[in-house]
This record gives sequence, structure tokens and C-alpha cells, in this order.
Amino acid sequence: MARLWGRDWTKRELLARVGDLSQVAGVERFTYDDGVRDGVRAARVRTGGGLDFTVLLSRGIDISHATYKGTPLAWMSQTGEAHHHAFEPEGRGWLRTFYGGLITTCGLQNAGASNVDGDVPLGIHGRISHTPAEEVGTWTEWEGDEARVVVTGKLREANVFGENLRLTRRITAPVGGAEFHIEDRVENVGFKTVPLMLLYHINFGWPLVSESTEVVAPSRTPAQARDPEAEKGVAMWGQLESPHPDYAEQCFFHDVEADANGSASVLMVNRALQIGAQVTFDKAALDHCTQWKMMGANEYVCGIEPANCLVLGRAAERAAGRLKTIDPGEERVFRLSISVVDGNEALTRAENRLRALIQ
Amino acid sequence: MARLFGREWTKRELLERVGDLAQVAGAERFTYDEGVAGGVRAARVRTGGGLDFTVLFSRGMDIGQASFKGVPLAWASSTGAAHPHAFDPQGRGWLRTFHGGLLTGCGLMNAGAANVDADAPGGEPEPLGIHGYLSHSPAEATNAWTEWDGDEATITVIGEMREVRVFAENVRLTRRITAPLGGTSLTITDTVENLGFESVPLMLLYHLNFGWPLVSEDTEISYEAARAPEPRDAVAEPGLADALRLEAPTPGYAEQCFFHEPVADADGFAHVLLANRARNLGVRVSYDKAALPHLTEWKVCSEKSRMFFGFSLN
Repeated sequence: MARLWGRDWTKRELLARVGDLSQVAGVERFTYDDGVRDGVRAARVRTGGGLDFTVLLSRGIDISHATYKGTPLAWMSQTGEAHHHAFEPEGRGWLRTFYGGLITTCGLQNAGASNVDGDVPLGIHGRISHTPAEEVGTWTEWEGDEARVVVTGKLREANVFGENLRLTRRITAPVGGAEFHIEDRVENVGFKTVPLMLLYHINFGWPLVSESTEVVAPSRTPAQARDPEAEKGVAMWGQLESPHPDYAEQCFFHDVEADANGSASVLMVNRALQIGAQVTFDKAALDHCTQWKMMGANEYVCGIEPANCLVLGRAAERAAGRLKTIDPGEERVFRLSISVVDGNEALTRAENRLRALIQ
Repeated sequence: MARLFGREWTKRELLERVGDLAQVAGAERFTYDEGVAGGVRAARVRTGGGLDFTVLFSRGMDIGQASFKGVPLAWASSTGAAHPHAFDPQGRGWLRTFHGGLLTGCGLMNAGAANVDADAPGGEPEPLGIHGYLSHSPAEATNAWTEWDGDEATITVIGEMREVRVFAENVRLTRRITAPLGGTSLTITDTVENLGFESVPLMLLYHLNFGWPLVSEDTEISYEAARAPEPRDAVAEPGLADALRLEAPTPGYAEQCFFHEPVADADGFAHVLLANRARNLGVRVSYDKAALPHLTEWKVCSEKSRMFFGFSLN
């Protein structure tokens, strides 16, 4: 049964109380009308369990705004959710239209720094978050007394004489829940083996991110600093800070421990607001996790980035022997969930569960 | 200063913490893409104080969805926020596209039941559909923005609706909806101007539709009464004693309407509170009693996908 406002309800009990399920939960498709986001197609999902998020169909079926009981979870950058036609794919041009949001997907031919791989120049974080979706479906479905909201669509990463990949994304959110699940299927519909880089740039923002916020990423090995700048803060990776005007970004690599099901989780804990968010991902498919600690004024965000690569760019992945590839006809599945943790007791339970994995 | 997430913030402190104020609050304009709402232009307003509501530009600047900290406040009817072109203005046709929502504007040439006005200004008996045209008039001269004034900010949505006929009325309603950053309130200021050269009727009714879970068997209405409530008709009469107490959804419940008269405060405003003690949540409606001397309560606690409670101010 769907749990709403503190109790369980059958489908008939719910329908007795609303004119339309959209009164409390569902999905609505729309197109933005103004400014840089003009023309961007989107869908707003409300679970009824307090979680409300917007899926940008024109922007790689990524997730922009997300709130829980009115509290924002995601960082929204100064760029706005720009139309994909404004994308500059070369070099660091991606940053001109990187709106942040709860999830920006990076890939599929590069993720991480811009680089030149052999003789191929690759822009930072690839093209996928600027790819408009096709075969889009959004609906709410009942199964007995439970309902879920579903958003699906397909993205192509294609280049004549080059790669020919399809990413099929399915986002599901149970009605009454405070979580959603992403299942991505990447298929190589071409006839060449090509690189496959996929990184979920999850961007938590204020007020979830604050000086009262801790990051829990259970690992048996110490966090690795990406560079000398991150080296300075590596001991403090788990403690977020107040915004500083002259902060330079610090990135840390975590080898997050998986549970018996192969799922690894990273938890954001804000004890002052008694709210948290947990990112859970299939560790076999997403074997790396970068933490982006950016405590700058106006650029105040903590990124959790499960990926099948580090963030150093394709040339570096290839040189290190880490670069993943996908064969002709092959399909790869990636699963990731985000759930909200509400209240101090639930936070303690979630924290203990993760810490127990490395004891 | 804006109060957000339990404390006060200056503008600079807020801008340190967000990439864009839209992270926590603002107005975003969009057009619905699907189904009966396809083509309806709208703006979603988030105050940052937990209040989140959608203004329907294409529907007379009515307010559709509204929630507070994720809890819905408004009744959403079975019709959906239908495009105004689907409007059937004759008789009770209005009910086919009555989206409910937090606010449906009724007027300007009729509000209330369908009727024939035998002494209409044109000199011939005039049939008038239920609740008039206003809620199906698409707005023009629209805008939606957030403006700072020192350390406080206000979100504003504006637009104009016309109620016009060649050889008859030429009335313009300009609506301004404001909501303070960090706040839990919205304020509507409507200015109605007769641009024509004849005196014409003016009827205006704010159909506020509160729904579940704000409306439940734990919800009560209270106000300081200037006089005792009255039932609209024989159906409402037996329910008069329970006019201020809402009920669980009941199959076969027939709508009951009651006429109330709260007292006005020193500023001329009357206040009505809808309180759900089980949820520790309530909504207060305040209105200028000189301009809106009448208050009708619409109580529908039926099963089969209807449970709502409306206030009409007119």
C-alpha cells in the first residue's frame, strides 16, 4: 500500500480522497517558456512522499530541481537549465551550460577532464547531458494498492564513422516514497568496439550541504586526493564547510565498500536539519566514486560521482589501463538510486548500516 | 531578511550558498505538454519557505496545485487543468473543465448558478452559464519575476484577463500575485476596470478549493462570526450544526453550502482559518470585506473521487 501522511492507504481509500491522483502525486510534462531554458522539455515528478523532482527530457533525461518536503537537495548553478542547442562541446565549454541539478550524466565517449586521446580532442564530461531524449514516456501505474511514477526515454551518442550507442533510461519512483531509481541500459548498436565512459555527477546543494553536513563513504582504503590542492584537505574530506570566496575545488577518490547485494552507498548527513540523502549504486558496473568538494561562495556544492572511470579524462584512463569499452551488440546495465533520509533516528540507522560494512 | 530553513539570511549570505536563487525559490514559466492540459501556459512559484504553487496563465491566472513542505493544500478535480479552448460556457458546461486547484476565479458577468437574467443590460433575457468566463480567459501582458529590495525578495506574477463582447461589456481584470521569499503566504491583488462606456454587472467570486490531506475528518473551520451561518437550501439545512467541522469521505454525500459572515478587523480584513490539528497544519484566508462582503462555504465530503471543501469570497 502507498504510505502517505503517516499511514498506509489502499488505492480505493486514496481515490476517495482526491479528485485525481495528481492532487498528491504523479508526473506532468511541460516545456519551459523563458530565458536560457526556453524550449527545454521536462517532466515534474511528485511522489506524494515529499519528494518532488524535475526530469529534463531535453537534457539527457537528467534531474534538475529536487526537493524533499520543500527543502532543496540539489545545487543549481548560475547557468540555468540551458537549452541543449547552446552547448559548446569543445574543451571546457560544457561548463557554460552545466546547470548542476541533482544528477548530470557525463559520458559516453568522455567523462572527466577535457583531453586529447590519441588524435581525438574530447571536451570535459562528454555530450550525453546535452542530448535530447526520444521515445519518451511518462506515466503513473498501479499494481494492486501500490503505484509508481515512471519516466523513460532514449538517448543516442552517435557519430558517422564513429560510435553508435543508445542509452535507455528508466526512472521509477514509488508513490508515497522518498526515493527514485535509475536504470540505464547502454547498447552498442554499431559494429565497432568503442570506449564507454559513464559518470553520474550528483550535485548536492544548500541547505542539505552546509557546515553541519558530513559525508559518509565507507571504505577500507583511505580516500585518495586527486591533486596537490585536494591533498591539503584530504583529512577533512568527510566534513563540509561554510562557503569561502576563494575556495579551490578538491576531488577525492573513494573505493566504497559494497553490501552483500553488491550495492555501494554514500550518505550525506545534515544533523542540523535532520535530513540526509543516500546514493546507492551497483559497484560492479560503477567501480569508481569521486567526491567533488566545492565549498566556494556561489559555487557551493558537494558532488558524489559514481562512475566506471575516474575524472581524469579518457587519455588518462587509457594510459592507466582502466578505460572500459563496449563491444558491438553488447548491452551494459547501470543502476543507481537516491533516497532521502528523514529524521535523526533514520540518519543514525543509515549511518550505522554503512559503517558496519567496513568493521 | 529572508527566513529560510530556520534562520534569517542576508542577500549576500544566500548568494554564497546557491548558484542561482532558483535553487531555493523563484518563478519558472512553462507550458504543459500533454493531455487536457497540453498548451496551458503556467508559472511555478516556490517561495523557499515551503510554499510551492502553480499559476495557470491560460486559465484566468487561477492557481492550480499548491503544497506546503510537500503536503498538498488544494483539491485537484477529475477534469485536470484543461485548456481553455475546451470550455463549454453554456449551462453547467463549466464543470467539465473545473480543475479545482487552490483558486478558481468566477465572474465577471456571472458567478454562482447558471441562470437566465431577465433584465440583462441588452434588453433581452440573457442565459448565463455557471460561474462565468473568468477562469477560462487566457492572460495577456503576463510576467513572472523575483526582485530584491535590500535583503528581502518578492516573487511576482502578473497578467490581465479581458471580459469583453462587441456591443456589450468591456472589462479588464489585472491580477498581481506576490509571495515573499522565505514566506508561507501569497497575496492576490485584482484590479477590475470598466474600459467601456456602459455600466455593466460585476460579479467576482474566489472559489478556493482546499483538498486532502489538509481536508480530512480532523479539519475544522473557525472565524470570528458577525452572525450565525445560514444554509443555502434544504439539503444544507440538516448539516448546519456541523458546518464548521469536516468529515471523512462519504458515498452519496450531496454538496452543502453555507453562508458565513466573519467580522472584519481594524484594517477591514476578515479572516477564516482552516485547521487540521492531526497534521498540525492550517491555512488562513484573509480578504477585504468591504469589496467581498459575502462568504460561501462549499462542503463536499463524497466518495467516488471527490472530497473537497471550498470557500467562495464574493
